[in-house]
Amino acid sequence: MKLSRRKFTYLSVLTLLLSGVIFGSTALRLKNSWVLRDDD
Amino acid sequence: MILTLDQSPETLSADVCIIGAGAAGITVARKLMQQSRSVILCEAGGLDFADESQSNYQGQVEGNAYYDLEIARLRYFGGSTNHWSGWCRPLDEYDFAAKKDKPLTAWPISIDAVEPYLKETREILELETGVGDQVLGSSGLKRVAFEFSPPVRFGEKYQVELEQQKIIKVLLNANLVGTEFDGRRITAVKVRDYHGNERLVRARNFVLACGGIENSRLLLWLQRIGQLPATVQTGLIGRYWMEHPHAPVGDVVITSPHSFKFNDIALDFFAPTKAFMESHSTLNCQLYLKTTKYGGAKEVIADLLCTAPAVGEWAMRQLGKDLACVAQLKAAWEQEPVHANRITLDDKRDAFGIPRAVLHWTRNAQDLRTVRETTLAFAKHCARTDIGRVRLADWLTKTGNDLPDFDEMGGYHHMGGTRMAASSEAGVVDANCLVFGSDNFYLAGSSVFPSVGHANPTFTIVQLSLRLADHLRKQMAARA
Repeated sequence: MKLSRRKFTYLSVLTLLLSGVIFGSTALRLKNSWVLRDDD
Repeated sequence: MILTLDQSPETLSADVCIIGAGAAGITVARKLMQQSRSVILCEAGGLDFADESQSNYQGQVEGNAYYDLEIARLRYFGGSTNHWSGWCRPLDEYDFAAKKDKPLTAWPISIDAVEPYLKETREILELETGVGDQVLGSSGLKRVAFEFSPPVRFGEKYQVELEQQKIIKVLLNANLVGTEFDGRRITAVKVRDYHGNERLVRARNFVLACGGIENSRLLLWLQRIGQLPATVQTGLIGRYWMEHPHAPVGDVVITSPHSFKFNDIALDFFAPTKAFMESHSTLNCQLYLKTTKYGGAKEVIADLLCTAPAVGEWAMRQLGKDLACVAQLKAAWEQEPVHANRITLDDKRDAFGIPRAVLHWTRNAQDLRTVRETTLAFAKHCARTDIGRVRLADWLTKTGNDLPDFDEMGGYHHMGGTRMAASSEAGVVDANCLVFGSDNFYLAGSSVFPSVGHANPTFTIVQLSLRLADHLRKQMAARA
């Protein structure tokens, strides 16, 4: 399936969130639609 | 003085004839009156709501769901200020420039053209001087200041003043039904009441100020029946119509109440910075938090407790205390000007034989991108700075390009349709709101907005109307 540029960008953001990549100095994650800190 | 059409003289003339007595029309009229210019202000309705007037606002909507056009605006003295909520904010400086990859969002004027009218606009709308915006670190967001009008009902506020002034005549129940013109100049407009009484109003200049749908409808109809100067040849009338789409975008569990600045009506506002919009290819967007009552808060925190026990338990303990710890997060954003979003004429006609309006309105992928990126940035800011946790609305976490329909579809903000531009190829009016191809026919109101930022439109409508009155005064002085 070919992803549109918009979908690709959005999925990249989601992936970064889900994998706990460091944004600034704080690790964030997405769970059940909540944007959380890793220590939550 | 204020007269019904049958009470008015057979022959009417003035320096300026204004059609439409809402925020724009009354503002232009009062400013001209203060400059000792005679004005005839034609209002299609009476002093109060009446079905015989309002029913002329019936129309059709095609595309996305939108409010019934008959209830989305009011057709009597004071216009839609009779039901507005009073939220005010000037456009941002960068709203006047073209946004990234969106050349049609550019205005042909800069903020410098309207800033001289800030103080006068605040006086008219009874606003206190607003505090400035506050950039929130590197979040890409800023806390933005809104001001709240009581709200001013223009009809109620200015009725006595307009009754007492002889230099201005307000004609009630005066519906535009035709024009006379000579070359590039409109020389007279014909108005008619609900009993068939007609008057011809002659003036040196004419201003159409009937709102963000009616300005387009009336111009399209005048063009169709050949009652605009032949030099007015634009095919853009009605095009690039815009709203501020609204949506509930999530819930916020506030973990640091002092970090929010809820105003008297429990609201706190945020918007993206210019740099954020450029780097994320979004348009402007207003996010606002409104505190939630206990029942709603309990459900949100219970969900957080299941998902993130540590922070959820803390929040649950706060719930029993008298703390505002949960807020609804809502968004209203800038819609890009799109050629296909437009006003056209229906086959059905109103009581005066004028075709009713059809609104073609569709939200697109840019709308979704703007609201999604801005909301996500806010959610990340809350978590990173530990001031709150955001639960995103489900549709924001899906990959589709479709926005669902919401109960709150827009802000009743009818903008565009007769956009301001640097040339007739790109718009309907020039930088002075003069219709391209005409020498004395002007438009006032939000229909001239070429782009809309995220700010509610009334503040900008009043600024532009004061500026138009100044322009008319200078033009008439130069020709005297």
